[in-house]
Amino acid sequence: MGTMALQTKKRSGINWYKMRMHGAALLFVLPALINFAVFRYYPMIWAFRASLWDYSLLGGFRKFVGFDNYVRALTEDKFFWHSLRVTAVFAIGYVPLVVVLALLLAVFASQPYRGMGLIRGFIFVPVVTSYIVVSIVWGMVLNKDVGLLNGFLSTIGLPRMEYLTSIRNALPTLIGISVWKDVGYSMIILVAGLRGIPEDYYDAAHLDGANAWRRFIDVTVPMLRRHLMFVTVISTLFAFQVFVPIYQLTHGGPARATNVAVYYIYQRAFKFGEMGYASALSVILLVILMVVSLGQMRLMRGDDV
Amino acid sequence: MAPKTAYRRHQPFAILGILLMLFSVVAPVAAQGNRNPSRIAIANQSGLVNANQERVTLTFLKINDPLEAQAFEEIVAAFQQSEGGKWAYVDVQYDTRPYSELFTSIETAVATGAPVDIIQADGPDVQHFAWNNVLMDLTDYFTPEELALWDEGSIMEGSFNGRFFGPPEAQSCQLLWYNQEMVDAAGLDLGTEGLTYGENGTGLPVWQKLTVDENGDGNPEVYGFQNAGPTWYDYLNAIPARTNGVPGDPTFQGVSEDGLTFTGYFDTDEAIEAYAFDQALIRDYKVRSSQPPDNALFSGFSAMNVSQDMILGTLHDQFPDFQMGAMNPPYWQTPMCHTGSWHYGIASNTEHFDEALAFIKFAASDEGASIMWKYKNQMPANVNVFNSLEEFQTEPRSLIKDFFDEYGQPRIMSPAYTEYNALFSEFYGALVAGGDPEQLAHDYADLMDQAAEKYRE
Repeated sequence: MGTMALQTKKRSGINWYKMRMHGAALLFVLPALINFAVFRYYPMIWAFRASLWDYSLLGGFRKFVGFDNYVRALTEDKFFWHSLRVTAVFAIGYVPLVVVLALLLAVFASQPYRGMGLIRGFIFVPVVTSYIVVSIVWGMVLNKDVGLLNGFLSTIGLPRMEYLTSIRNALPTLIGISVWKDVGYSMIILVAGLRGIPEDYYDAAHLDGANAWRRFIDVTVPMLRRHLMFVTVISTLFAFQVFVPIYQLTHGGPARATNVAVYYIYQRAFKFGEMGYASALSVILLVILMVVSLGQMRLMRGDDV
Repeated sequence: MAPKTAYRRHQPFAILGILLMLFSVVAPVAAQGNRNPSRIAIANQSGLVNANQERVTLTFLKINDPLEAQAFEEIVAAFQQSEGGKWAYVDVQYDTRPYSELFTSIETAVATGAPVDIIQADGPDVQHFAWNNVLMDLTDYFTPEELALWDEGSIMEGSFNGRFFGPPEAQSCQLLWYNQEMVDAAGLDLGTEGLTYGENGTGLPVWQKLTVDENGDGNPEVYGFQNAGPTWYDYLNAIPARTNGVPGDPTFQGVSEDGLTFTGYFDTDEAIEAYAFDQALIRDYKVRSSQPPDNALFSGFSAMNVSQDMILGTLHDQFPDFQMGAMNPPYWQTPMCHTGSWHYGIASNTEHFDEALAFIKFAASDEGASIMWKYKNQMPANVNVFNSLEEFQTEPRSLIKDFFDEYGQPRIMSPAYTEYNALFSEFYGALVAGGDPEQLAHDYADLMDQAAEKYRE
């Protein structure tokens, strides 16, 4: 009896302690959970619901249409498919550039020289600058007639170019602006990764006769696998969600050359009053992003070195 | 025991941390109400308010315009003192947005049930908002005598299906303004009659003569002509095509009578001819820029510029020494300027209808319109004010008055105007970038038809 009573008391005490600890932990994460629930998951659920309706901001939920919006998007809407193609081209141009440039910049900015902190900060400044402000400034710099860049080209005897008003050049120009804006973020992630690589590995490789290039390929890159995976996935998500520079600089034009998926969704929702249909497009884009991200993670998954 | 003790020791910090986090979540939300930087509360300036009268603050969702803001400050003060101080308990606060965001903001505000009382709607958008029940039907609240205060075109733009939805703030019409020094230097004697479009028209030789390309690289330092841009709204850029018709024909109308069919109106042979020539002015003749900066005329970027009369306000305020001339705008067959401007509307979810109605009536009245004119210098829609202004008896404003009277036409009348205008901007951007004018015109007319389809229901 005495033993049983002791065990019961002990079990009861441990449970009470665990419950309080879990309760405290829950309270700590509660604000973040509420934030996620209210501002992330609730809108997602709500958007899915809206996607099943003929819904507009002004007209409200007019008619339940089931999956008609999805059928329309996937079988009839050539402009949605076009916007997906533009988005894919944007991502194909943007992601490798960001990852490679970020890696090179990270290696460079990790060198133990004086002033490297300043250089890292310099590269990171565009990340913390408002995208709208950045876009406005780039718009002025890239103006065909009075832009700084063409002024410079003209001064050195080169012809002026059309950047944002040219069907051929507009998308590459936006990729360039986006890479410039975002590369600092990826660089900082990779710098953190580089600092986690033990010096011993480099010393061992050096003793084995590996030159700088071999050390980079055989030590640095494999050791950064997880960081590179993160940077690749995040960059892909950024690429698929690009909106601000298109909204500010090209409005999806000229001739839909920069009409990426998110901008197209915005147009359908706010310019054409088709919020239900735009919600369906958003859900499709979400599924595409999840598939792409999972595919990337599977491809890049490997044993730790 | 040890963990329990440690837990108790840290418990106050944990509670403090939780409280801090909760506060950090709640505080910004609580502070949001009065900290929106785009909202400017206008204090009651009359001092006539009855101590027992509950104050009412009207929220006015409008365009961001500094000159207009000054005008409204004075209009609100005058409103509060009007009718013996009857409305002294009413304040007005503004929720201001850039032009490109205003339409979306109005939609969002209405959809979310935001406490908006008064909406500033561009003339052609009134129909769209009326169709969607964003604006209240004010037909029964305006007498014929009150309606006679405003220009007929403004009444038409503020109406939908024979119902009246809001009085006008102002009117508009365009002229071709030019840099007098450049014109003199080119030895041109222009007069006031409008130039004509087309390869054999009178405009092209003038614009070629005024275009300056010093190094001959095909990128002029001065462009001879400019008709808005680089945002390609229909307000200015739809005019050339419409002038290639005659009153009553599809090209001139731009859209069917019911405002829902664009094929056969937007893409007639005459309209396509005009689009192609617009494109050629930019890409072939290089007398017009595809990316003009703000104030292209005053900065010397272009020698001639199609613009509404507000350019005179900019001239007086910012470039008083600039020598500017004016003539009627260019055209193909029938001269035309696009009329219409902002209207005051009452949001359907207002809780202060009486006050909102009184305010918009006052703002559009002789007194309110006079104040607006004083600051904004835009052509009044109020007939009494318009007729009383001496500026409109002499050039260049007399030119715009005469042209408005004789050739002013509203932008296309359609409940799908908003969709049309978005598609028009896309169409014109593609045109400027070198797309095939005929193909583009047909494709976009079809898209406009599709966008308007829902209004047939």
